[in-house]
Amino acid sequence: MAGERLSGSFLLVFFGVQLVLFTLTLLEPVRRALIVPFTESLALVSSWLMTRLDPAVLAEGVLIQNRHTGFAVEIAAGCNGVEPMIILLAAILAFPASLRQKLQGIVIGFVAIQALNLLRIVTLYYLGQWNQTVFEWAHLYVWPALILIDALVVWLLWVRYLQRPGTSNAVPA
Amino acid sequence: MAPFLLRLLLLLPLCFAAWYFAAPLLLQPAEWLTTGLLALTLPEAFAAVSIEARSSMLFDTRLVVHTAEGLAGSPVLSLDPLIYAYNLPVLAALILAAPQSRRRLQRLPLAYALLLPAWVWGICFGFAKAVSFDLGPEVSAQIAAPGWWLEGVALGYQFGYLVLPVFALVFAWYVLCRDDVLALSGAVLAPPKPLTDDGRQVRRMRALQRQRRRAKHRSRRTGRR
Repeated sequence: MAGERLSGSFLLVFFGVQLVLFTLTLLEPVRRALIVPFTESLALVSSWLMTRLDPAVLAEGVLIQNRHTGFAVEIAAGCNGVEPMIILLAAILAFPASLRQKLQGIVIGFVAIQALNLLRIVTLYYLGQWNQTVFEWAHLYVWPALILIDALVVWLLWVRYLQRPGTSNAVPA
Repeated sequence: MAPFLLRLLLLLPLCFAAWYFAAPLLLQPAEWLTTGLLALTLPEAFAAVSIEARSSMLFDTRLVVHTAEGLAGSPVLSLDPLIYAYNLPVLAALILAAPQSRRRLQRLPLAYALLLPAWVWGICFGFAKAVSFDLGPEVSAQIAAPGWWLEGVALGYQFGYLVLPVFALVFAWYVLCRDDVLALSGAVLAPPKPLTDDGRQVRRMRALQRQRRRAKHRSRRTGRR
């Protein structure tokens, strides 16, 4: 399938899926039912990970707090990795592959993005306690860029995997 | 793929540094466009905007707030425009790290032009959201905006902050570096050029038909004269 040449349908599906999913994430009922619980679970997982090494860490909803200094970071919209996930999901859905291959790509992509996102949350928590300027830079500019690049790399690797000889999507030489 | 990633990771800090130091210059067109758009859409609230520092835009407003002592004044808002513009250094690094691209540097102004509307969207909605929600009921009452307008501002702001920087970046990268995307993915995303004999014949036939039509058209015109 991937060996077949694609027309503009790839772009149409890619940008169409993004537009639909991004719009959905902005709607209040979707935010309440999906985005907020997901963000809270992300805070729980990251605080659980951090308490293994640092007993001063305390999680409350979407807040991760230092119980001694009172410093806290809030995991808000834009910090939960949902946007790069949507980009990756759209790119995977738009690319011709079997349902199984798409599911594999989505699961691996989810793990890759959220693993890096957990690293982002942990580093921001400690950077914020160390230096506010570095925290702002990392929070607002650097980490969003790195997570986006992560999504991009996962998609490129997934497509390259599909082209390998032996997979059903391999491009004939 | 690995050399591309290595180049990308090396270029990213350089591009971020260049972007940050050139920010006042890069934001200047955004300031002009924002001034024009806000003067048209929110004339009762917006007075002027200026770039104050690398990561700050100051908005003068026509709104009035009163202190507890009865003093009145116009609030001045400060917004960080770079939160909408972090996509430029990423796109620049992607373009410069590209494996196949020629004319990489020439693509940078195009990249900037493609991302600029998304920045302006974010800045304008950032201002609209601040005056509608952040400055309190006294200020929002002066705008007297209907409910649907406030919903639109909230959605537009979220779209401009969360979605548009990412969406614009992906769109611009694909538009500017399509060949590199293809090379990196190893996939074939383009419609095929006719390379087979059949394809060439079809192209020749179409070219002949076009020539005949042109000749017929010319002979008609000369016949009329």
